[in-house]
Amino acid sequence: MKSSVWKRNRGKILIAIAALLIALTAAIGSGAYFTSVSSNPGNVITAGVLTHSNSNANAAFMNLGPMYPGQSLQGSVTISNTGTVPGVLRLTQTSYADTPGANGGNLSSVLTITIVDTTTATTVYSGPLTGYGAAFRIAANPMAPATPHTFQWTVTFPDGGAPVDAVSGDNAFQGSSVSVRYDWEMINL
Amino acid sequence: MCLVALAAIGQTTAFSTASFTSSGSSNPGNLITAGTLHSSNSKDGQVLVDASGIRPGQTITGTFSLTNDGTAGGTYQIFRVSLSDTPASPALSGALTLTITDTTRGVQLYSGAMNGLTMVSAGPAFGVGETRAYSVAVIFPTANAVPSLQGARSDLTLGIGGTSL
Repeated sequence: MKSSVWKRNRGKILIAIAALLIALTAAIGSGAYFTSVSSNPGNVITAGVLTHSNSNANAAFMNLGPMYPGQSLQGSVTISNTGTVPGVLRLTQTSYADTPGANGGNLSSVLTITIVDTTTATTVYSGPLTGYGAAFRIAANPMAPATPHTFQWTVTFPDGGAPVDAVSGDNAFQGSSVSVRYDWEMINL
Repeated sequence: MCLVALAAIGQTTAFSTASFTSSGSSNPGNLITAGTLHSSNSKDGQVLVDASGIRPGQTITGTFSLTNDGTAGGTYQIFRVSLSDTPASPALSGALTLTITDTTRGVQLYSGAMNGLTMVSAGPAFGVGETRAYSVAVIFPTANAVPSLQGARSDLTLGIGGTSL
């Protein structure tokens, strides 16, 4: 009897066994991978800061004179990049205003200036005071953080020779003065 | 959807021109002043030596002081502005001896015929506000006395000029 059942169901049993084996094989196969894991947490990206300091901020660094023809006098100011990124320092001679003396000469018309970055021994400008122009000039490039640059002005009153009288030639500038404003700006590279 | 896309493009464009700039600093009021060279003479416009009636062998002396009252240092010169003799010949100025001495420093600046003076330095550069005293002596050497000079007259005008350093 049992034999007859076996015979009748033989095909179904074999299929069931076969299905079982396949399922078992799949189960074993699903746990057979190698894995390796690493992480880089906490990556930080920070924007830089660009600021600068001026040793004579909002004040003059030159009060030169009384000058006479043939004389040169100097003044200086120190600019520091107090930020965290390098920058380009720009210098503008924003304005100048003459106050003529008794003989009426505008001192700005004869003065020459030389501006030197003494930190890098680089000349920023050399020429007539009136020739600087309205545009900025590059004073330092690059200007690294925490590296102060000292800029020295040499102002020269050229000797125009012996005046022909008491009010002309260099005598025209006796007692004259000129006030000059400079502005600094730094931008990132 | 279209509006959102345009907004995103606009934002990207704005950031593409962004730069850091530090707030500007200024140095206003830098002042450059020219000096003035000016002197004052204690006998300006006055008779320095009145040697009227000078006789052979006599010396007549006058004094003056010079002050640099400008705002710049400078050197000064004493020079002849004019000289006239009456009569022109023989000229009394050729017979008289003139000496100019810086009595502050004790240095004689000129000694010679009165008509030989053209210009002489008043000494080393004056500082601002510095004053020095000078004496001017007119000497009639006996050796130069000739009868024809009796009643002769000389008028000498001296000037002082300065040059800044």
